[in-house]
Amino acid sequence: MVAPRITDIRPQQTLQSAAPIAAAVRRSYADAHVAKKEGRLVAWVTGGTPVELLAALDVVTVLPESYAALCAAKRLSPAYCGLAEAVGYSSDLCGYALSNLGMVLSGEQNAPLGGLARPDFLVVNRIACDTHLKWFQVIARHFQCPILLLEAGYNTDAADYWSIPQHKLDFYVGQLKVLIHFVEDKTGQKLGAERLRHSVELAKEAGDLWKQIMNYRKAIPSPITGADANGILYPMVNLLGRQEAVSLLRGVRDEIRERVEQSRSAIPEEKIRLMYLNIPMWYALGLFNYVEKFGAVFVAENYNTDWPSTIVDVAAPLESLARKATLYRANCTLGFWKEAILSQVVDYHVDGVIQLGNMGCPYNRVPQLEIQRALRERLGVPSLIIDGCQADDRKFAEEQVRASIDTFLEMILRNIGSGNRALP
Amino acid sequence: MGNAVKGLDELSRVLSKRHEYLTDIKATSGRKLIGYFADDVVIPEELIDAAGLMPTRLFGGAKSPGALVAQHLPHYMCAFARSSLELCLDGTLAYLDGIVMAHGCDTVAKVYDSWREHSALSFAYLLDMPRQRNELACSYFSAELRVFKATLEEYTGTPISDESLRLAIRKYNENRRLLRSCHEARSSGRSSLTGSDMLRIVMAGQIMPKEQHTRILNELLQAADAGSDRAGPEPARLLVSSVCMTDTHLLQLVEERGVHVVADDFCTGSRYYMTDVDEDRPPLEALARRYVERVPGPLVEPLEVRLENLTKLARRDHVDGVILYVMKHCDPLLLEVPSLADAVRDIGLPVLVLEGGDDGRAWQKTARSVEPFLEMIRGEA
Repeated sequence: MVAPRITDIRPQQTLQSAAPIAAAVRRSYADAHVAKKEGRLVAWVTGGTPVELLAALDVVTVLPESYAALCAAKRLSPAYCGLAEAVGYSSDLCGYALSNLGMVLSGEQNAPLGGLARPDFLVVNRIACDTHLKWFQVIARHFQCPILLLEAGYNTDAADYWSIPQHKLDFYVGQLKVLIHFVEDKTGQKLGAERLRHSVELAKEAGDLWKQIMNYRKAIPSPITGADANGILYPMVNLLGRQEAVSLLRGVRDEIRERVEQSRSAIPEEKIRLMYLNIPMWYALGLFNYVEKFGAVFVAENYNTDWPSTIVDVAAPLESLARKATLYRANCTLGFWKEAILSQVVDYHVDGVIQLGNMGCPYNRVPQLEIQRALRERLGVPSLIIDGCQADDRKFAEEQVRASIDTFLEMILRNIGSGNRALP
Repeated sequence: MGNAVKGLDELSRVLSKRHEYLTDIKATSGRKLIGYFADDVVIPEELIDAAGLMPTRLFGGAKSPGALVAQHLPHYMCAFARSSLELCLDGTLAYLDGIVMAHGCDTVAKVYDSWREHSALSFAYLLDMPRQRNELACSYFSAELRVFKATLEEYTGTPISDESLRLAIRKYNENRRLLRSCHEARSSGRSSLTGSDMLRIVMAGQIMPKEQHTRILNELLQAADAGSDRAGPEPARLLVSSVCMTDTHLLQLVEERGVHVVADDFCTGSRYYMTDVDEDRPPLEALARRYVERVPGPLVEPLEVRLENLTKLARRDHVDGVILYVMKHCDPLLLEVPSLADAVRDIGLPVLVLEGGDDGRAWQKTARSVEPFLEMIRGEA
């Protein structure tokens, strides 16, 4: 029998509570168009932007990278990326950026879900990569709209939220105040302290739920699959500061908690526990189900497990947002990041790690060999690097990737069968 | 022009034998050598110098194919960063005592960890660098420099006084002033200095002690003042822009075809010397301001200041065309090249975009791409 192509496998989600989240994703793009017609402010923001602050300011936020992921899942990215390449952007660049630039610069009229509502301004939270800034600079010139840049001081020393030097916090808080004044000037409405506090409280509640959800994935057998996890992140990305995020994530938490209490496994017979590093290939989400034929399940992904979620003090909302941004893994030296991955591998009882060798993603591509080496030398955990892009399936060598995954998982199965599981 | 040739020869020797040169400098001066590595002019050498240490820039340039670095860094990334780490791992940079890197881009920030982990250096420091150019950024970078200063003091065991920092600032300002004079001499045609000479001059200056470099620049300029060797019709004038040019191949290739590189926009060129540190402000604050408000490279916000600077350079030096040279896998530059090219076209100038690595292997292909462009700006097409 011919094995199914990974890109042809329709990702199977096992969580009923994920369906309302998928609906919320679709609704958010439509809501932005409605908001625009009503004269409310629409901001395009990058991943990790403190959307809870913008929610408190009544700004409707749109994430082009989430939308690029949606386009990738619909296999539209090659066409959009091609449009960007045609006007001079290198095909080696970030798939999200290329997809969005191609769609925007070409004036695409038939994009899914009616496309993206035109922005009044852009917010770049430079905690992940400089690509965000450079990409949005092009968008800002295209739409002739301002960019508000938030830069978190790069973290080289702080091991916890309370050790961050005050001048780094002051820098970020200062930029948040500039953003607040900018929006207040546009709307004529002052941001009340109580409104801000309430929004940050809701973000904290959502973040705490997210951490509970991720913690439940440490259970053996795993209550959910990687395919499930990739379908539930959106409230953390773009709905923080709203009751909706809390309600959606509470539904997920309750469903997963029940499964853990009943020791229900997400797959029929769990033999291998995997971790995924880098951004999912949204056109090949079937990968997260493909591995099930080996009894493998993804129990952690740095994309999900590392999503910034900690609000340390709602009484100091802006400073808490600064602490959250500063300690985001990509904003820390690799040492912190590597230790976090190694801890997660231990905590989630991971047998093997699959990394996406994503050429267009500088902060992920540079440290991948150092991470692989640390996994091997310090934990004896094997890892595999597969080449691909998160959005553009032209860069995905299906046969080659499938063969290497098969070999990798067969090797782990043999090790486990002969009593050589890397971690207890 | 004898002194000019002699000075250029001396600087070329420093460049081509830089590892031997720096080994000798260390032995004779007794100073500790601190390598610095950044994708733009964001490391305040003045502060390292004031600490009694000698800053020296790393340019990559490993001759081996990178077998050692391949264990740590993937092949699809900045060749410049890979090559520098290879030199560290294979012992070529054994004369270094420490390394300072800047969070000038995502790649350098992550490569820093490989240096810290795999080198035997006694000092390693990563300096953060804001992208925006405003009072908040100046204030933040001042605070970052205070931490950097304290770390240097701890390393050397000696406080850095305001006076020693002021002296270092004056020394570097003087060097930059002379570099600007060299630039003026080459772009005005007042001397026979070429674009590739200018690149060698700046790169050598980033490697060697400033006092020695300044001495050679003075001699060079005296010779240049004696008059130009150039004869015949005025050649076509070109501006070359890149993130960091570390190889004279492209400039020589252009010059051999009769086009004069009268202006550049890279951190081994005009971005390094066009602005000074204000000597009337408190020194640390003045340093912070100079580096935050530096001549804009690829990672500044807003993009408009970068575009304006490029077109200003093109107009000021009356160029006939612009080459934008992009290092492969330099994502920040790759993302702004179409905007830069548009800005050049908008002022009515032809532009050529070239992509390459730092190893010179692509030069034959580059030569084929460049030729028709040069014909056009020479008015032959």
